[in-house]
Amino acid sequence: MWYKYKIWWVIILTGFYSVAALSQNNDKKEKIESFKVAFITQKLNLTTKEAQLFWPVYNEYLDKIEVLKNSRKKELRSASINIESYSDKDLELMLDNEFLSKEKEVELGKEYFNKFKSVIPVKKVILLYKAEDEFKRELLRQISGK
Amino acid sequence: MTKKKYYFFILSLISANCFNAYSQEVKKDEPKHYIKPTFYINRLVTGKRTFKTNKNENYSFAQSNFGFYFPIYTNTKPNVGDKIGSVFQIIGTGNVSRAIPKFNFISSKHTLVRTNFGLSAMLNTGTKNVFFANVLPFIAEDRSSLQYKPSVRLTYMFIYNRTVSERFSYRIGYAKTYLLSGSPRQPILGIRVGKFDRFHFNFQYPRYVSFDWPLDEHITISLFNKVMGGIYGMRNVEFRGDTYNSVLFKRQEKLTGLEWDYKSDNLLSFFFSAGFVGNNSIILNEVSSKKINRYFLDVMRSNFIAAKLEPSLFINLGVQLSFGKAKKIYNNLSMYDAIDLNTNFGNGDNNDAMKSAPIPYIPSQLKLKAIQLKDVEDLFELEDIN
Repeated sequence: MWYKYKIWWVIILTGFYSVAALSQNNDKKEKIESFKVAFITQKLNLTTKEAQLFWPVYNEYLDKIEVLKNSRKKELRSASINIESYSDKDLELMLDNEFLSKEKEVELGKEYFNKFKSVIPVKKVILLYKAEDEFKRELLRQISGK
Repeated sequence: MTKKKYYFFILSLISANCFNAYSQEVKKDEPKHYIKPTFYINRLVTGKRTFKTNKNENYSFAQSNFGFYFPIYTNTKPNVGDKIGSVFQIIGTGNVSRAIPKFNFISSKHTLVRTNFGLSAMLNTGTKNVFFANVLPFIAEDRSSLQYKPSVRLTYMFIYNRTVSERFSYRIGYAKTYLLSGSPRQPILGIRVGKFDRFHFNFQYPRYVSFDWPLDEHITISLFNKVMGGIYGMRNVEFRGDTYNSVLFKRQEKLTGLEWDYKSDNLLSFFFSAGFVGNNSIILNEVSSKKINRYFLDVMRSNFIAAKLEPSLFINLGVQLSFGKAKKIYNNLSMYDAIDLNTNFGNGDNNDAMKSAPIPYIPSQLKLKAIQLKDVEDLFELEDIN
């Protein structure tokens, strides 16, 4: 009886295998992100009230900064692989976009600095920026195995 | 399912996807919703259960369940000073469950199908309050007979959730549900003790009591006791000739077992649970065709069979696929409760979905395993090295 449905089993299992393989890369990104959240939580030492106000704003900031960085990296990565296939004009436009995107990032940083300081003390905002930097160093330290 | 309904269901899925694709296009990759469009499929099988009063009679039950939910509308109001803006979400949901009860004292076979399409709405105000409402009309039919006329019923619920702290929240509400064999109108009372991403206790009357233990960002183990049940219209060929062309079949059982959930952050999740099914009861009572849509307790007095059953074993397994990107919700406590409400209360009246909600696990140890440069290179830019 089961053989009647074996083609469906093959399709389902292949589907799940591909989906699982695809999700692995994204999982690593999410894992590093949750590690960053744990790191910042520990460094900032927020009160319950501060945490309740701060995290929704910080999540919003992370969403926006991710979109900016992703679009920038996607363009540059494809150009660095196929640089010969791009015209000078295209490359110039790409670099203009890169600068524009960085300007946007600075603007976003300013906007969210104001938002952060309205929900937590300025001292803790400085600690946040410091923690973000320390997090990168911590990642490098763990990669090098020291 | 008839062909028409099948096409309707497929069309709903396609439109759900199109809608989501459209809403993602509007703001270039920036996630708009807190909930990802999700499809799930699960199957429950129970062993033979003999009647307590008559050991010659037995009954077993198997159910397959296919459903989906997707965000339709999300409105996040901006913060004003130190006041957090409210979040309002509307979620579409659909579910088809196909139940096959087997009675050794009824010769005919019955395939009982319930199809529902409904809406949930959630409002997070401030940092502590979540209001949840869910309306699910459904069609119940006996697919084994074309003569059987499907009946339409409705379940709904309203819940207020208060997130007191990251370790405690409570819920009160009101529901119309067919999970219990008593009155379908039930209060909802619930508490959670412990953080969502650590060992915690959940008591959610009338649905479940559980101890949940997230081991890491992927695996959660739960020890649970949950109620399952339903009301179905069944074609009548066994009882009193054709005086009654329909029989109302009501079942209720309590499942006690262990659930193992594997939750991927993206796309794929699955669960497996097994244990004992006890506190079983089934009721078969007569319903004239005129009464089929009326409040079923009116006809409780005329039962053909009302039996309590011996315990047995069950297996429940399922797979879940989530697509796209959702807004980040790290440490957003009231949103954790909202997501949990949608997962455990918002998806049909079956109470057989995956228990653990997509709530991020925040590690306590600041040590990443098996990390490589290629995993983190996206995080660094040239300026970071200077």
